[in-house]
Amino acid sequence: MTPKAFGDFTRVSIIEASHYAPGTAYVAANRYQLEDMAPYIWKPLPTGAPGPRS
Amino acid sequence: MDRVERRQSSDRSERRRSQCLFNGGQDVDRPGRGDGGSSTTSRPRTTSRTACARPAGQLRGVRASRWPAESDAGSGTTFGESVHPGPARQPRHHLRGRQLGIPLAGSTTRPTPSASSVRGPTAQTVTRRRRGRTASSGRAAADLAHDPTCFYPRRQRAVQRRRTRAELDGSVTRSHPPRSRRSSVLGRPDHADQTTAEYYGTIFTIAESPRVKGLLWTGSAERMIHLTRDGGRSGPT
Repeated sequence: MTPKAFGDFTRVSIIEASHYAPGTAYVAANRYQLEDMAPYIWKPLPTGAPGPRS
Repeated sequence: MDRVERRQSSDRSERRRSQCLFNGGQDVDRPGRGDGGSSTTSRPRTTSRTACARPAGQLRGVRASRWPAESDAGSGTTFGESVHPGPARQPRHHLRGRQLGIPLAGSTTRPTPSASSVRGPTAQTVTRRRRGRTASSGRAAADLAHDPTCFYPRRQRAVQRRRTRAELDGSVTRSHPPRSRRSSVLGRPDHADQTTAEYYGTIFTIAESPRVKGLLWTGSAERMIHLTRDGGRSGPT
């Protein structure tokens, strides 16, 4: 699941599951441990298969 | 940092003591309001222990009233979120679902109580309590989704109140498996009781889909992102 672009010392700081599209989430990450102060935001690709229903 | 923590903890014990004394333990012992959660949570060893003694047969554990609301937890010294899902502070997913008016898929018909109402032990909570005791861990994990009494400590574990506990199968945090073990090897942290920030194996963030029951995302402090579609029963992908 982890994008290859993340690399070591990338801290996943926030994940927010989409409130509208099942299987979509938004990810914020940082790399301050690499002295990289830029913010990073990813939107993973939709997972396709729907989750289980109860 | 140390000073802040110490001051905070002393504030809390002060508050607990005063609560116990002023309420005569009644608020603490009110059935239904409490959760009967982990009884291992530390309690201040003060003389108020006797003042708070419960009658036999009552649920034991930490009461919601023992946890200060975040707003008054001591002049803004709180770091992170309170994990206690008491009436003063519902879990995030629950709050957001309600705020947005989104019907929680698969949620039980249990009405969402207002923050000020005191919940009595309804038949449903009794059922859940019973089921929680007997359920296997995987089953319990699936049942956690969209349960307003559920909260997720961020260490590969989903814990429901009333001692129901479910592990998220497999590792969702490690990018370096050797570091995920507790170890006393020189150069690695060894905090058996985890009294400080956890260095490895930390789920830094977790998100539960408000749409799909059992859809959980976790992001670790070590770059890993995982997704489970059944509340952790079958492990992350």
